[in-house]
Amino acid sequence: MPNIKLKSSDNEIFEVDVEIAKASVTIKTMLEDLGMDEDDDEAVPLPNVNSTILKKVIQWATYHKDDPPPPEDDENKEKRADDISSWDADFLKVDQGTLFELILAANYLDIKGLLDVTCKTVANMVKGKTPEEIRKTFNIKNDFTPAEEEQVRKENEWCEEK
Amino acid sequence: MPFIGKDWRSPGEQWVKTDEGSWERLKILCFNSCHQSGFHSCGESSGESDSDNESSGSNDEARNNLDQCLNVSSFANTTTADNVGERNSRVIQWQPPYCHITLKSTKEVAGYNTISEAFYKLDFCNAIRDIRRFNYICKLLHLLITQNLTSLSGCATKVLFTLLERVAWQVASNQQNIHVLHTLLYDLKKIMRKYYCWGRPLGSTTLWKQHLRTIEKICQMANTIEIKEPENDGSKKLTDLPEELIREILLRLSDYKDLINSGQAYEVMHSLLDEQHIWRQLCKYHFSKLQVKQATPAYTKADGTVDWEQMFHNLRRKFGLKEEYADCLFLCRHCRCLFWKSFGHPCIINQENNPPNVKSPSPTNDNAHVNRNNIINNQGEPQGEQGGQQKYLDLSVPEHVPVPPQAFLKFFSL
Repeated sequence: MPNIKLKSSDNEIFEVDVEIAKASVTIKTMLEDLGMDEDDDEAVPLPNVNSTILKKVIQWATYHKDDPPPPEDDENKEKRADDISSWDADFLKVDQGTLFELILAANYLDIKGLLDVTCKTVANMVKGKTPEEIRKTFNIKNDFTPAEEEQVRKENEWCEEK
Repeated sequence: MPFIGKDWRSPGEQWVKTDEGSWERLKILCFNSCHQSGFHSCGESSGESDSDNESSGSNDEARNNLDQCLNVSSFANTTTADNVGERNSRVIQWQPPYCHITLKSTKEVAGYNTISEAFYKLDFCNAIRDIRRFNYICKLLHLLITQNLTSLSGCATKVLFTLLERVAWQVASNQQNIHVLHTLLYDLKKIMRKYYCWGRPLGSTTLWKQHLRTIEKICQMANTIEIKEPENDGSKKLTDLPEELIREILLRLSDYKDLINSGQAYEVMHSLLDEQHIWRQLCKYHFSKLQVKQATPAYTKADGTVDWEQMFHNLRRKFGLKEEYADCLFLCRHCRCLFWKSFGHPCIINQENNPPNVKSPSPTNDNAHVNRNNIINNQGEPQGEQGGQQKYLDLSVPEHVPVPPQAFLKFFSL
C-alpha cells in the first residue's frame, strides 16, 4: 500500500496509508487536483491541524477505514444523537478542548463521519439541560441583558402551553 | 416448599444462597458466570431474601453444577490484570446477550417468562452504560414505574431498583441525561404516594424498607449532581466554533425543548434558531412528508417564507412526536429469542438474515462475532434444509421484528 506524508501545523510528519488519508475529502481532492505522485516524497501541509489532533484523526480514520458507506436513505441518522458506537464513545472521552479541536479538524479536513460523531457528542452534552446548566457546561458568558432574557423567555412561553 | 408455578410439570427452580445472603436462581448464576459482571457484584442486597422459595430436592447432579457455577463466578470476580492468559480464555466465552421467550402457551407450558430473568439475560446492567441502549432501558423503567410498580413480583421490584441505581450512577458520572433521572424519580415518588397503604406501599415490609433506603440513596445522588465547568486554560471552547459548526450541533438535537433552552443559553444559537432551517429539519424528522406538505400553505407568509417553528409546534400538538431509539431489542421469529440489534444473537438460521451488524466496537465483540459464526457452523445445517425451512416462513414479515418498550412488557403479561 502506498503511503502519504502529512505535515501538521507544528511540523510533525505522519506517514499514513493513502486510502486512510482519503477519508478526508480535502486531502482526497488535493491529491486528485494536484495530481500528486504517490511516490512523491513531499509531505502534504495541514496548517490548521496540530500534531496531537492529527494523531487522533488518523487513529479514528484507521479504525473506520473499512466502514461501508452510510446508507443514503437514512435521513434520520443525523437526529439520533445517541447513536454512537462504543468505540467512538470511548474514543471521544476527551476534554472539551480536544473535542472542539476535533470538530474543527473534521470540518477542515472534511471527514463527514468524524464531524457527525463529534457533533453528536456535543449535542448529548446539551440534552435535557436548562439554559443555565448549558452555560455552565460550556463556560458560556451570558450575553443577554436581563431585558433581552425576559423577552426570549416570553417568546418561547407560548409553545410550552399544551 | 411446594412448587407454585404455571407450568405444573416443571420440577421448579433451583435456588442458591449467594455470598450476600440473598437467594438467587441457579440458572441465573450459571448464566451470569459467562458474563463479565452481573447484578450480584453491583446490586445492593442485604441479608433479606427476596423470596423464601427454596428448592428442597437438590440432587447430587445439581450440587455439582452449583459448585462449578460458583467456582466460575468467583473466578470471574477475582480475575486480575496479571492473569491475562486466563482472562483471554474467558473473553472467548463472551456471547451476545439474548433471552428465549415463550410466545404461545400450550397445555404443558403456560406462558412462562419472568421479567427479572430477562433483565439478567439481556444484560441490562451493563447496557445502561452504553449510550445507544440507555434511552431504551430508561423508557422501559419509566413504563414499569408508572404502570406496573404495584403488580411486579418482589424479585422484579428488586431488580428494578438495582437498575434505577445504576442509571443514577451513570448519569452522575457523565453528567448527561440528568432530566431522564429526575423524571424517573419524580414519577416514582408520585406513584408510591398513590399506592400507600397502612403507611407504606403494598408488599413485604422488610423488602420495602430496603427499597425506600435505595430510593433515598438515589435521590441523594441525583440532588448532588453538579455540573463541572471546564477549566479556562485557553483551550478551545464551544464559543470558539464558527456559526456553521454550531448549526451542525443544533441539527443533531431532536427535542424541541433542548433547542429552546440552547437558544436561551447562547446568543449565537438563538440567532441560528431564528433562521428557521433547524426547525424545518425538525419538522421533517418528526412528521411525514404528507403532514408537512398539507400544513405548509397555512404557515407560508406573504413574502413566501415559511414559519417552520410555528408549524412544528402546531403539528406537534396535533400528531405527537416521533420516538426513536439508537439501539432496540429485536425478536427473532425463528428461534424466539430477544436480543439487542447491535449485538445480534446465536441463531440457527443462516446469518444473511441477521440484521446488519455494526462494526464490533471492541475486541470482546470481535470475539462475539466469531463465536456466533462458530455456533452457526456447529449447527451444521445443510443448505437444502435451510432452503426448506425458508419455505415455511412467511416472507412478508421480516425474520427479526423490533420490540418497542411497550411490546417488551407484553411478553411478561405486564
